[in-house]
Amino acid sequence: MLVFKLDSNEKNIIKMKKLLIISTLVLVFFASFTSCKKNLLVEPRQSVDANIVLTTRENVNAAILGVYARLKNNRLYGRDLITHPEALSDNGFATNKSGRLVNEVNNVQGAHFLNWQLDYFAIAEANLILAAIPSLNVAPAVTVAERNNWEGQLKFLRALCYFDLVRTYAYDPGVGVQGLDRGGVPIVLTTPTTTSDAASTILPRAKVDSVYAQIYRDLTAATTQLTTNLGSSAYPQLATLTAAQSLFSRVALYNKDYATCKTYADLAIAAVGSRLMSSAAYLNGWRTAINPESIFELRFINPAENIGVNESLQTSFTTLIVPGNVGLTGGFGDLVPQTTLLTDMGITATFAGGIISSRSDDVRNLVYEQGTAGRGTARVECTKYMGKSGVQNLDNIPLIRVAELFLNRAEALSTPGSAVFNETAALADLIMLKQNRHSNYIITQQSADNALTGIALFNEILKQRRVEFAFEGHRFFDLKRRGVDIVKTAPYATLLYTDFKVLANIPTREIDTNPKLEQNFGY
Amino acid sequence: MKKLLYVCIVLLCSSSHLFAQRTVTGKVTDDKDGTPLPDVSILIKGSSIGAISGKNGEFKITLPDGAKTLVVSTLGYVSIDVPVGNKSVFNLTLASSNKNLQEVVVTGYQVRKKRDEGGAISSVKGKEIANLPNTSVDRALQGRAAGVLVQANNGIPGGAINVRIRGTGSYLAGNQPLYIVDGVQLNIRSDGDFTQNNPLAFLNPNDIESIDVLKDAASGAIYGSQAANGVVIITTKKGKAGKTKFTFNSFIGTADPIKKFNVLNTQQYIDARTQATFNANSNTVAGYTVLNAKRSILGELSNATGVGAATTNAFTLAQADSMIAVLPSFDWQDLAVKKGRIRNYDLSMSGGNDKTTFYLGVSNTFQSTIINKVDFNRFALNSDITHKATDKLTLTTKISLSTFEQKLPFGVSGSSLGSPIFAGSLILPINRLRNADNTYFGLPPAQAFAGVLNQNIVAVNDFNSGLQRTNQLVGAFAADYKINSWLNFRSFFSLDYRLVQGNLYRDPRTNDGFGVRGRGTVESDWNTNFLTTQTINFNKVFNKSKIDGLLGVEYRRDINEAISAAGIAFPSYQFTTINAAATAESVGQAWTGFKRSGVFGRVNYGYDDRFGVSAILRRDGSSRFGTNNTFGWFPSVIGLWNIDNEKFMDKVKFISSLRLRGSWGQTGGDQIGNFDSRSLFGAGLQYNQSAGINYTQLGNPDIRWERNQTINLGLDYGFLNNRLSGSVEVYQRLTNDLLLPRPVTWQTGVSNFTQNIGSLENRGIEFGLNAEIIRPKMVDGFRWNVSFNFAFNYNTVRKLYDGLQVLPGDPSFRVGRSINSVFTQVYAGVNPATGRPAFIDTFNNTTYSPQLRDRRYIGDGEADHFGGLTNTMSWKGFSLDVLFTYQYGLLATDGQVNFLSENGNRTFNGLVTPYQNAWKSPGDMTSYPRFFNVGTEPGGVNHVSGSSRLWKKADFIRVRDVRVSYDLPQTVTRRLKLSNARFYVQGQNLFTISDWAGYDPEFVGVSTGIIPQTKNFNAGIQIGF
Repeated sequence: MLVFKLDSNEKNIIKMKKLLIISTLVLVFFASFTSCKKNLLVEPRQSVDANIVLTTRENVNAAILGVYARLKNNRLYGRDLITHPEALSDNGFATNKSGRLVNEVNNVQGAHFLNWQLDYFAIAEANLILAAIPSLNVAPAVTVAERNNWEGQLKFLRALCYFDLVRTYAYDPGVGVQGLDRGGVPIVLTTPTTTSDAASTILPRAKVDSVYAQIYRDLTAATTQLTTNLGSSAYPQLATLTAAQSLFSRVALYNKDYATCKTYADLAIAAVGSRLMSSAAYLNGWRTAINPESIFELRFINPAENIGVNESLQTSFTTLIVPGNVGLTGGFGDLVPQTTLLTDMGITATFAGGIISSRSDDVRNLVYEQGTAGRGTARVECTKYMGKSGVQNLDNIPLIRVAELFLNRAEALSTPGSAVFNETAALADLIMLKQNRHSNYIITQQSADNALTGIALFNEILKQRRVEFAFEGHRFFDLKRRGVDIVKTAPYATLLYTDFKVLANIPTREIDTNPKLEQNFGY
Repeated sequence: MKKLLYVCIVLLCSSSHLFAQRTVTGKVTDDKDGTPLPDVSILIKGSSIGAISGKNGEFKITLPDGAKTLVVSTLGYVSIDVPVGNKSVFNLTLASSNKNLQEVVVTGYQVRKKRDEGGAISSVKGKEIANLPNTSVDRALQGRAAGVLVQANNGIPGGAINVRIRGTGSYLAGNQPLYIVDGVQLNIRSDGDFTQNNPLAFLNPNDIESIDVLKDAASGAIYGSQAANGVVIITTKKGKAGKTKFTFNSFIGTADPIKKFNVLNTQQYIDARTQATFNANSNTVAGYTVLNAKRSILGELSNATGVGAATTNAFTLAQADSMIAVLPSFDWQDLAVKKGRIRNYDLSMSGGNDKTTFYLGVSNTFQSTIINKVDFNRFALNSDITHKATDKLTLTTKISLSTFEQKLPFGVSGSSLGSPIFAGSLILPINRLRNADNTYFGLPPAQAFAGVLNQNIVAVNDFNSGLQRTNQLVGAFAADYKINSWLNFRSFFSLDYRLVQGNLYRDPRTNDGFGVRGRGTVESDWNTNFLTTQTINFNKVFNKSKIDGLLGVEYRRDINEAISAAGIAFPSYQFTTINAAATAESVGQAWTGFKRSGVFGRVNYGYDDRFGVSAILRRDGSSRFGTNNTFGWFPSVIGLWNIDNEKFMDKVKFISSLRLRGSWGQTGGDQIGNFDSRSLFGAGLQYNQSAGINYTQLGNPDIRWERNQTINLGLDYGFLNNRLSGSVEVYQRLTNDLLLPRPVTWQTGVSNFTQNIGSLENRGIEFGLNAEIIRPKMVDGFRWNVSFNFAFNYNTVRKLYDGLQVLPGDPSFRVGRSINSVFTQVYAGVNPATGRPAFIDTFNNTTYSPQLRDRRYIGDGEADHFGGLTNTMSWKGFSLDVLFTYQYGLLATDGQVNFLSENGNRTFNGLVTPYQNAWKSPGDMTSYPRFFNVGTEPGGVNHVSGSSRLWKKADFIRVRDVRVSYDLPQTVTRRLKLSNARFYVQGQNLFTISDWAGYDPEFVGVSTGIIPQTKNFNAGIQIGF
């Protein structure tokens, strides 16, 4: 402290100086505090930095579930990949009750699948996790079985996404339309992690064959790395060996590689063939949360996963809340079966009004019934999705069912020119399915079926495929992969196979961002 | 000029008083520092004889006989009455009145004389906007501040307002200005999901003293990185020493719809729908007749008519027609709408002594609107206490406490079926409101509406409930220490704390709640915004030079947290809290935050009141930016030339004031996501009853401030003794290093990453004119002032990256065009031969099915010019204020009208105009295509899908505010022991000139189902005692 005696004037000057120094010091202190980077650091809490997130076992598991969760999106299996194959093809009639799916049924250009973005996002995540797994350094260390299970699931999921991309945006192998065919889709197996790598990710469309080759590689790995057989008790919500084999059989059928189709169908049928529902069990199978026939099924269980009143499968397909109660109106019922489909299923009904006058013994028609008049004219509606997970609009979505294996194999065996052509075996598969689908099979069907050969047999197999998977997202792809016209009933116009609208348009912003990417013809 | 005028008056007057007069002289000085005061008016009381003091404060006046008192007055000083006596030399001193009465502006950490300031600053005084029925003050800026575009998003009391100062300057980094209330930088997040939220809604506009809008970058540069979109500085009222003054103010009023749509009645609708159905089926279904169509339509209406399809399908044409003829029509627009109420009370107290002064304002504001359950109810308290602890130390606390509740309508915008504004005009008129037993018609499970719009909107809005409550504290503490006569240190701390809580209940009796047996949602969101500023201000005068300025540091931390939960399956509608729900549907939590800090300084130098220069520099850091570019510098300079103080101007008598200003400066934009520089995995996914995570963001560690550089030239003018005055500003606002979502292919797993690319320019002119059209001879004579402002602004994207002309994925962002370009297919009209809508393709041919590639630029969604015109007339105690606002050149599409134009193509109602003008037979020339079920003819597109047909200019001129008020004369108020008393009647949105087909040309975004603005009337009283 100051010890000199000062007169008051000097005192004031010193006091003033002191204050000046103090306030300057305050400023300097704050200035140094505020110009320090460390003091400006704020760490996110809702998210985790991508550079460190995939370094724990828990996060790898969660990230894999994240890829499954992508598939639940409305633009993927949450809605479009199930509704649009019905709407774009000859199965669906648009009731215009909410205005949705009207353009798809009319094959208006641009009204098509929109899975490009989310499928690539899912693929990118699978790539990132696959890249992180080998360097995962955790205790206890990752076992070979654990790693195989992770990688098998990811490759199954990646194969599924590439398969969905190639079958929506490209012609299927062997049925490209000359002059319109612009190849497959870009293949990316390493996802960039820096902005400069991302900006320079500019990939051309790979050839369709190359995309199939990639899907084969992933499925070959998945069928090697996955070990779980989907026994009679296991749940079908995650990828299993059986699911990978079944998907492989489907992919091979699209690829017209009938031998591979049969090989994997054989393997899968050996594991789960016995889960094929009997005609007595069929209806109840569609009334339980988990379809007994599911080999791979997207699970929607928590109310938060509910897709809701506008776009869920229940609201898309039916106005009903409770089967059989036309007094209660729930959803929109935007898409209902066309008359030709009703005929194939053995239903006789007034189309406007939906009054069913008779049914054949095909139990599959039991999941179709009169809807309500609550939103306009009542129609016959599909009730495969009825809020079975406990709440309206909340349903698991079967993606691969046991019945498909029999139909895949029967088609592979009966397709003219197939390397594994065997009509006897094909007929056996057809009968196997039909006797579990007709309550009086022996009386109503057997004698006619026994006589089936050649193209008649082949066509019956295709017809069964239409009936079996109606409103499950198969029809459009089944017609497209065979390169045939989509013959529609009035008031809709037939979509010729050579019409460019058979393929979806690649999103414009993708064409804009990627100069090497060629848009599909016509768009 | 002024002098000349007075001299004339003096001469004229003196001629009639040639005898018995004498001349006196004198000098007027400031009582504190003794500086001479020029331009002081010295009037002889009771006459119009007087003089004006010269530059040195001296004056000379010839007194007529009998002159007893001189009234000495000038702006910013307290007037005095000086007895004449026998004196011949008067040395008068004037005391400065409250600073706010001076022409001062708040420039950011400083209050400066307007004459010393060279930036582009618009000011609005609290008086001008007092008692307007606006729940937030930003609304009141419309038409009052040149170059500030104010657009109501909708009419929700307390809802969001779109404020753009000098155009749109950013794509990603926000376009909201920085709001500062008494030094507190407000949190402008819109928190609370249930209804719209306005960051200024906590403040009672009547507590506001003044609003200063810093428009150019140089003025804003002191706020550095936050000022890219301009700064709105709001100063609330302070206490004044003296007898405690009370002011009580109250108004009540009503709100009514501006407009009603002219929609079809039941018979017209059935006609349109029949034709649509017939046209769609007659070509494809063999033997399809009009009777088939009528049967089908009656089937569609069976829910409302009670006559089932089985019956109507058997009808003959005569039976169908006779049934149709007697069907009733109900007007759902009337059923859904009610009269809104407006109510406001506020009481303010102000007083204190030489040590301590205080201001306290308490208020309650209630507003409901034409839709049920949009009520806004606010209690606000605003206080200011200033205490001089010592001669040197002054302590100030300012606290605003506010709580307001907003009821929740079914939807605030969009096409929700239960939203009364969306559905009111679209519900089929055949649907009735109630059943015979007075219960609501159409509720599940027993009944259903006919048509797509199947919710009884009156019942839905009656049964559903919800409330959002905002509790906000904006408090500041400041200590000012006077170090010496020219140095001042200020330590400032503030807290802006906001808690938004809401609960929403979807009643199980209504359509949306029925399926889930009721849904309850609650949420809480709290934001803590802490700010501290330490500044040293200096102010020194040397002879003719003046230097002032400041040096400061600042730190801000803003943290936002939220939780939410939803439950479904309630026992009954009487249970509405989510503890009653059987199933938890979802729970959520959110956390985000940022930190920002800066060091800044400003030096102003003025010479001889003629020249002035200012230099400003700030260095800011923000947690939002990449580790490589956390900090940035923001410099600016301002120059000023008061030409009117030049000697040579003395000769130019008709010019009373003339100032030239120029500025250049840089500010930054940082309103991007708090963590945009980081690559992230996010949570919130679930699969198979386990939590999942996914890749959400590719971070860019190189992102930095968006640089907003403005060159501003301003000219302030005053002619004819300032009877005509105003200013002109010309500016170029250039945004470089534009923060853009740089699109990358989705194959990378993301859509884009944030990068500084591109540049954007706004150029404009602002023009302001104040005219005293009629200046009264007496103080309370007839006075008519007109104040007019308008602004032109042109917005152009100058550059993108990699030589690109269009931002991939966003065709409305293209080089050489406005940032809000409209890029769509061009409508070619209806083919007279077929009645089908046609469009123009890339090759200029007409086509029924335009492709994306056929899109063209057709205009932009930015207002070219806009402004306001204020008329103020007063006579005796009466005054009339009328504000017109206008907007021109903005291209917009009205979602509600687009729905209403579908013309029977779907089962909802439509407008009469398209119905009457639709194409009917070959050769018809019209722009409305033929009726066609679904709207999409084979091989075509829907006529209401995007095309130039749907875009119109949203131009309007609106009588925004009208106010008539009457002040009781002093003689009466004195007798009533009141200091003043005023009665007023006001109207808002009384009249709009516009050919806009929608409800209101003023909206932001898409107007589908927005709760609209209203026409308001209110009457009030203000008493001071």
